[in-house]
Amino acid sequence: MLKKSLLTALALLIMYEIVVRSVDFWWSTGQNTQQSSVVRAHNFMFAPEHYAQVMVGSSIGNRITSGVPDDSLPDYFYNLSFGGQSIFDGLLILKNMDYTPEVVYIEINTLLRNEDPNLQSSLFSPILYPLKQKIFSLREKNQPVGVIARLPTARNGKPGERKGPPPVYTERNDNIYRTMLEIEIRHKKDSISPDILSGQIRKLQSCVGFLRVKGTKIVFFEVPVDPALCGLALPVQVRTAVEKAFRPQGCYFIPMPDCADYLTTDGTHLEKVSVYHYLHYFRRQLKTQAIL
Amino acid sequence: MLFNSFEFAGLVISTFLVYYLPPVRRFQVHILIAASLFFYGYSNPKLLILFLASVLINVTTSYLVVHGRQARRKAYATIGVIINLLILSFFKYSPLIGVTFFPEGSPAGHFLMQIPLPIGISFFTFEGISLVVDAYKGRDIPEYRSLVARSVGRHVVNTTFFVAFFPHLVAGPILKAHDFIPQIRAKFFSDIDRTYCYKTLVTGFFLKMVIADQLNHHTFWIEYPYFESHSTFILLVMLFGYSIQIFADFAGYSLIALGIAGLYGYRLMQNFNFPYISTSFSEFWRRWHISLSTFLKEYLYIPLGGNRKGRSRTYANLMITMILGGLWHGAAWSYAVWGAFHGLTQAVERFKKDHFPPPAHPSLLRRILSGLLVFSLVTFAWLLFKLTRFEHVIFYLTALWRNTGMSSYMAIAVYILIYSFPVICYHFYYLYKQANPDRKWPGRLEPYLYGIMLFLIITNSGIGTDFIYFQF
Repeated sequence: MLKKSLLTALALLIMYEIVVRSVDFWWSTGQNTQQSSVVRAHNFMFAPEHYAQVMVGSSIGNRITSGVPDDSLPDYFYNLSFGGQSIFDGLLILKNMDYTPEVVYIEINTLLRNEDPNLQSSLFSPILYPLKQKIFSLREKNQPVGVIARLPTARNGKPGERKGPPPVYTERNDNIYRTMLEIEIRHKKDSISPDILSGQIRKLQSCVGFLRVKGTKIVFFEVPVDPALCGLALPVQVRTAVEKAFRPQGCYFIPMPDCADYLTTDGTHLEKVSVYHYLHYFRRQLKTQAIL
Repeated sequence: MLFNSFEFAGLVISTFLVYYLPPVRRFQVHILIAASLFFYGYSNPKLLILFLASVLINVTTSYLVVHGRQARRKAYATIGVIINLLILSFFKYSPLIGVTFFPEGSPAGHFLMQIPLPIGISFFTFEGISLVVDAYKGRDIPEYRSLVARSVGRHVVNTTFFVAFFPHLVAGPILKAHDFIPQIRAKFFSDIDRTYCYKTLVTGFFLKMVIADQLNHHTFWIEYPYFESHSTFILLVMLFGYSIQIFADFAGYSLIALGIAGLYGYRLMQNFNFPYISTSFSEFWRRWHISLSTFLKEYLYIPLGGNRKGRSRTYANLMITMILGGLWHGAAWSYAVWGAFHGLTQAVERFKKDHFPPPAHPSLLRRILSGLLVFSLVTFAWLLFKLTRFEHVIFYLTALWRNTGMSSYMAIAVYILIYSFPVICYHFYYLYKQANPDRKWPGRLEPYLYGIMLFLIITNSGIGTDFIYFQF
């Protein structure tokens, strides 16, 4: 029983490793939000090329490249923004890999959110990290169920190669939008204890300091949100504190555009139409400020 | 330290390598105690103080119950049970008392809400109660007297080992002294039941890492306010997925505990016996978390009078047992409501059985419909586990009613159905084997099935998360 069973597992593993090395499962992007973050991180960590520009953020920044292939950020740009996670997750990946991009873009919308220790430990497990470098079938991207379940989406072709007009429709469901917006207003209408905020700023300073020492340019940006949220006490407090702490250090800032020009699905996440709009603004700012 | 972590694997392997060496055979129990204390104190060594204090109380009271002055035995047993319950109540329910009975911002309420919940406290205090009660109940029966050795040193070692043995320490199965202590003796490598250990470990890790950990990221959306954005169909599928997940998570954990204990020569009681095939609620509780339900039956329901004091008392006893059983799970009133729901269903079932006895051999259709009804109600009741704030449960039910016209994000449904499928097959496979015990093909297929499960554990595991029952 034991021998047959172990041999079955070994044979399957060898066969699958051969398949994984022969076929690029580009359509497999993770079976859930957290796994998609791992896949996104792995694609960065195991990539043969070096990315000069890296963006770190949450699901808010994550949308900046998604679903608008025509206007996505250029190929030398990597978006290490993770749904449901924080900017510190992306920054810790850079730190743990001792990675030195030329420019790092830091989203400040979710500065108060902390890193996810589970994500970091799963990415940099002392045993699995080196194993995943050598054995491709151990990577989350190649999980058999994910590969098979997402196979039907492969018929549409690679998203990056799909050319098309900018989206014109909205995804918003009014009920959900109102519910989520109310919740966000409740959470953001009051400022937080200055001690908590200064703790986060100190943590950010440590990550930024690590990059700046190596000559990396730091650019802070804030993705526009619903106009009802833009001027609330909490975002204003965070915005002011980040500017106060980092502008004197020579960091760049892409100011938040007028929120009234943008639409969100739930108060905080941009509609695809607005992602397209924001990308234009973002690129213009890079040029105007001579960041690129 | 998670069962599916490399640290844990290192602990199990290093302990195993030393454990069977002939020169240290007489210290086998000591080796396991050392490994267990290391396991328990790994992330927070301070927890060991409370744990060892609890062990000391149980060692002392159980010893006095059996070997102390005859006239005071009942008092010693009562003191032992009360202290265990006080420890459990103080650490587990203080925050609930603080939030319920004290105004917001009051110093007393703030103090109570700050009290930390030591991991595994619900399990090791119940095991302590089992030892003291077993010792008292069986004080004059030779087999039970052997639970409490005459030698104080031996008794200390046996009791510490019984409570601390790391496979069951933090989330059960809840051991009963009369089941476990008699197993304590020298163990030999040649006596390991390798096939049993392999099967339980592979099934346990598969249920936990491939099923529960994958489903966890899809049922995550049951949290408020995220569920508001999903259609009725997805909300129902997510509830179904959570029902499968909680089974896979806890049954998986229990099987891993059984398999690891087996590696050291100990048999722990089976904690799950295909609960979702149950056609009644009483059957469900004979199949779900068996170590808890038998504990509650032996140490609460029967002492309350069980079914010996008339019908009304039986119904009341069922309700009391299940409400307390619900509260055992967590310090939130929703757990008490969950327990009350299960108490009520069992009381209604008992009432129906008393007044309208069911046929001795129910038809297949009747059994299928009963099974579906029990599964559906059990699944809905899990909502009280997932959402511990009542208003969120109400919002979820409202969303179920309201979101009928909404478009569904089908990826969630697809993944939930894919990952639930093996659990459904697992239950049907059991039913098939029960109905066809003479068929040979299932046995011939098993090695390959276990091979496939092992392959999927290696290549298709979800991102590791805590076991759901760790919080209890």
